[in-house]
Amino acid sequence: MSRKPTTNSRGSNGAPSTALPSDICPVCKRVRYLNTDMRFLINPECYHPMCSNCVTNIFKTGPAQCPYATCNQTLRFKGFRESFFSDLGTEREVDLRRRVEAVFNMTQDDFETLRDWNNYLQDKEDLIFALVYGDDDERRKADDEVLAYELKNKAEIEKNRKKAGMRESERKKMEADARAAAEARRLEELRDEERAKAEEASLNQEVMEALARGEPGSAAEIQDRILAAKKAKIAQLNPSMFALTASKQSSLLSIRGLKPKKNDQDEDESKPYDPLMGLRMEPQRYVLHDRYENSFLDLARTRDDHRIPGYSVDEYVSRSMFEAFAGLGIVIEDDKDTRQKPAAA
Amino acid sequence: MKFFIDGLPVLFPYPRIYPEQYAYMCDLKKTLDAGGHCVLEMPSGTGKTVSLLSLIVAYQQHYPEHRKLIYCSRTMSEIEKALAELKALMKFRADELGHVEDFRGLGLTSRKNLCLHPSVKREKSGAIVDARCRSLTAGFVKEKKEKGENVDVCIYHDNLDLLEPHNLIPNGVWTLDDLLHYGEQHKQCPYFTARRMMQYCNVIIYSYHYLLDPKIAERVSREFSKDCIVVFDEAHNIDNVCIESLSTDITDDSLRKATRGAQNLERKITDMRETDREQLENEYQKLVEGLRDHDEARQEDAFMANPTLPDDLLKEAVPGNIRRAEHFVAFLKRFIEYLKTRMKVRTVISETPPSFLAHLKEHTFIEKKPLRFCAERLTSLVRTLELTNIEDYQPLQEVATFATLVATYEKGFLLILEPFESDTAEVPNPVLHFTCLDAAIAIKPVFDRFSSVIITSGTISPLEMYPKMLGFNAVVQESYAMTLARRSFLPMIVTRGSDQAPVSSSFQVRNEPSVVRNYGNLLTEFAKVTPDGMVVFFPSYLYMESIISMWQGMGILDNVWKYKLILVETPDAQETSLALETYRKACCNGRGAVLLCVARGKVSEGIDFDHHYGRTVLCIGVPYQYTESRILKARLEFLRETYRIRENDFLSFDAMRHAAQCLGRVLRGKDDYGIMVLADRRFQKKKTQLPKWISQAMTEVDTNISTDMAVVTARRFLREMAQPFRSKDQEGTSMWSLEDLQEHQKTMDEERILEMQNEAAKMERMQRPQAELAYQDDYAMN
Ligand code: SF4
Ligand SMILES: [Zn+2]
Ligand SMILES: [Zn+2]
Repeated sequence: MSRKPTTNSRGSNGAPSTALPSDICPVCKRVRYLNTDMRFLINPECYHPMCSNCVTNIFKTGPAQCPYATCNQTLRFKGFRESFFSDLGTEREVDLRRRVEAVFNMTQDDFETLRDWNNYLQDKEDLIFALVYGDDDERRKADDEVLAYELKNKAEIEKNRKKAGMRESERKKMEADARAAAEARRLEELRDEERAKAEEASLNQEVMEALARGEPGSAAEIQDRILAAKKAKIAQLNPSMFALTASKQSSLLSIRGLKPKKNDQDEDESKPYDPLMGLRMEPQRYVLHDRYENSFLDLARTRDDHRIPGYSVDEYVSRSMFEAFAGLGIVIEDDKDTRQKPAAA
Repeated sequence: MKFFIDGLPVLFPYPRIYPEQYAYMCDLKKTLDAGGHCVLEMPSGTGKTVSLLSLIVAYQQHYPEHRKLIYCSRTMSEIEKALAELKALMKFRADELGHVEDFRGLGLTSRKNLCLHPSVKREKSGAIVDARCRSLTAGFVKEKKEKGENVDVCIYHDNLDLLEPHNLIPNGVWTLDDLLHYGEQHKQCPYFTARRMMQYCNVIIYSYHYLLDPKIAERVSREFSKDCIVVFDEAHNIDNVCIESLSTDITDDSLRKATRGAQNLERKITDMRETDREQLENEYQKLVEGLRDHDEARQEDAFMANPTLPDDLLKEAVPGNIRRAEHFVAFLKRFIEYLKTRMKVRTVISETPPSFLAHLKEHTFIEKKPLRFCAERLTSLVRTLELTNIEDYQPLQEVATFATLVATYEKGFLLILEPFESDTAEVPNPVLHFTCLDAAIAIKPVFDRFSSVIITSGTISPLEMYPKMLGFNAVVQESYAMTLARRSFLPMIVTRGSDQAPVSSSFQVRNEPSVVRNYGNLLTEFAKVTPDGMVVFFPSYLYMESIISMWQGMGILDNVWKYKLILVETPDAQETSLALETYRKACCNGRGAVLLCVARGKVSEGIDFDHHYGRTVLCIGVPYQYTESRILKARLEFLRETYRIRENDFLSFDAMRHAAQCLGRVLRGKDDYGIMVLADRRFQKKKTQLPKWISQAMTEVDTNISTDMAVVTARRFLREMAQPFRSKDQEGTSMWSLEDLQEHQKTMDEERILEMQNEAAKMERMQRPQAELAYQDDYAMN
């Protein structure tokens, strides 16, 4: 039917290194010049490009063989789509990559060392290369490997996928927030500028009026007077206004570059909720005994007028012990150092 | 003459000194003592360079640290001038001191200007000279030669290896010409001589780029120690230099070439795998171990330096998925294909690096981290493959640099895709601008690394703007007035035509016949009164063209023609230089000429119109930037968001610095004189943004006058200037002899003592009433 476009030597299903045609449909030979809305479609079964007209004509009625001479793939209408890349080799590579990435979707945090992570990346890349450029054997082997891994680690993969999705949406939200904040700031500044302009205009107006009324002094003096009066009034009326705008701004601020927190609770919902987030409350530098012998405590232990209102010797003892040890292990010098550093930097 | 500044002996190679030169030196010394950065504005034509050099050299020689001076200037001619000044200064010092000091001063410029290789030096383009030189001098070429293989080498380069590495050239100051001569005599390459000797120099003079362009700075300037004194001269445009050094434009064509480069690489890898597998394996092993030694990554003959990678990242191993050569090439190809697809979009897009990266990842699975390593990985690969025809890989290198930058900086950059050249264009010609918005990024390493950075120029007002834009703190910020024995220049702001109608180049009125006619009359009148040369600046080529054709129609040009030859600057460099030559000739032979040029063109930046070459400069309209440019808009927005600089403030600042540059063109010394006319109603409000030395010379009346008045004033001024003026007249006021200087220092000292005494007296006075009060209190208590 037509000349087969050059494919590279890696077999019929190998990587076609052709580019998407720009003007002539390789199947029906129609020219874009006469059909300006011509689009080219491909089917990821064989990546042979043809125009949308051909696709409708040939495949609308049901699966058929690819019209390329040496290609014996059976294609379905549903499989056709536009190509993102104009280089079809890249298009195919990225499709295969998508499949591998969906399965091998761990992140650097999942690895103990950077080296392990890098090795993982390389293995993945090797696998993709086998899928893309390998001969039939290599391809089949790589394919099996992916499938096997997928079966074995289904749960893990799903979890990673969810995590990635969450990260992505978080990033999107942050970006949108930042954009909205910038826009708000810009509007605010515009308003400020306009306000300032209006103020100036009204000031001029007032000066003119004052002059017309015959107030004493030159124009500049009058202007100064009016300005001073205004300032005083503003200061009196709303000292809170400035604070308000300031706080509004700070709430719009979004922090970037924070490391996502390690959050084990999220995944493990069976554990009871711990409001202290794992902070340990028992003393670490001393052991609290059940009973401390001390003659002046005996009275407090026994006398009813102490016991009945709720005085507890144990409470007293534990607090005394806490106070005695409090602050040990905190070196003020160290703290000072860390506080001064950012100022000096 | 020889004098002391706070105990520092300064040798100044002239018998007289201007007061502002002395003040400038005092402030320089203050900055160096305090250890910090400064911004200094020194009127043009008052010997800024010589004052700078004599103070800093004095400082170097006097103190034991011998801090190195790195002097950066913009153009070749400025670099040459500075070198000549330095040479004269050192000669004077030797005469004065009676012995020649241990001192070495060198200038560096591109290979193109310094090459001696008979065939390489004949190449037209600098990039090709660089590339050809690299392929003759790369490390592996030498190795091959030693192995006895037949390879081309550059004898000038190889001779250097026979010399002592720290003594390639004797002490002394070497201008570029000297360097070429010496190189020719001793058969050694001047370029590499200068580059390798940089560490052993007291003074280095070179172009901004060697320090600001991270791609070059990394290789050329990384050896310098922290206490170097860095000077940026003519620095009024430094923010733009910074921005340009980090911005790239990508076009369809460059992507096509990059693809070809990637395909070549692929072929070379296959070849090498067959012939010299070991080499590739070695590289791979090194990458796995993360054992790149720094010197290798930043060699002097490296194909390209990494534009950004901070040291900690350099220590990290290259990501696993680009370690293998073939993986990396596939990675590059994928990235290039992605860019090609993006370029097909027919709407304008502007996006931030993070959103670009997100989209990229979605469609190609390229992660940020390998992208960051792109430039470095490519360098390593090129070295491993021992490529010689490096110029073929230039476009690929650009793409890799872009990749690294876009993955490194989240903020301060923007990607703008413009599918069409202009709004009316039909045929798409897409350009992807990767534009840096933040001048501080490129210059930050300089401020961080060196303890004293001096930013100076003839026109750098308003001074506060620069620390703000470049993100540093200045210990000294000073603008000097010009001391003059007579009023040798006349700045004026013409706001109205003779008919009292306001003139302006603002968009609404710029093409109104009355405005154009008034501008025309202004030109004619000044052409009549000005002797010899006259320069006229327009805000843009477009406006210049339209106004010239309207003048033609009104017969104004014919009128001007009677008094002066008319010459026009064009975007074409050759045409312009021809026009300039004719202009000069006409000025010399008495015919007189007007040069019509553009405030942001070549003429306004680099060409001086001293003495009779320019007696009047006429600035028609405020030279605002073209505000519809998307890149400018993005930058304005960035400045507002990040540095709180308002759009209008920046635009007006930028316009005024260009206007000031134009005005400064005609006054190149104290014995020079000239008229400076700013013709636009809007200049009236911007007077404060002019450099101090210009605005101070402007009387209140002259800031708002009409054409006829301006001509009267100009006539009077020129008549005054025609009176004989001997240099004796300047003495004592605008020019000091040694005695005058000592006199000045004495009065300054006295003033200081007086001040201190006053202070002490004041303190005492403050204390006494308190003591009395206390006493009274005591008393009352009792
Ligand atoms: S080493 Fe020097 S002389 Fe030789 S080619 Fe390079 S620049 Fe030219
Ligand atoms: Zn097919
Ligand atoms: Zn078709």
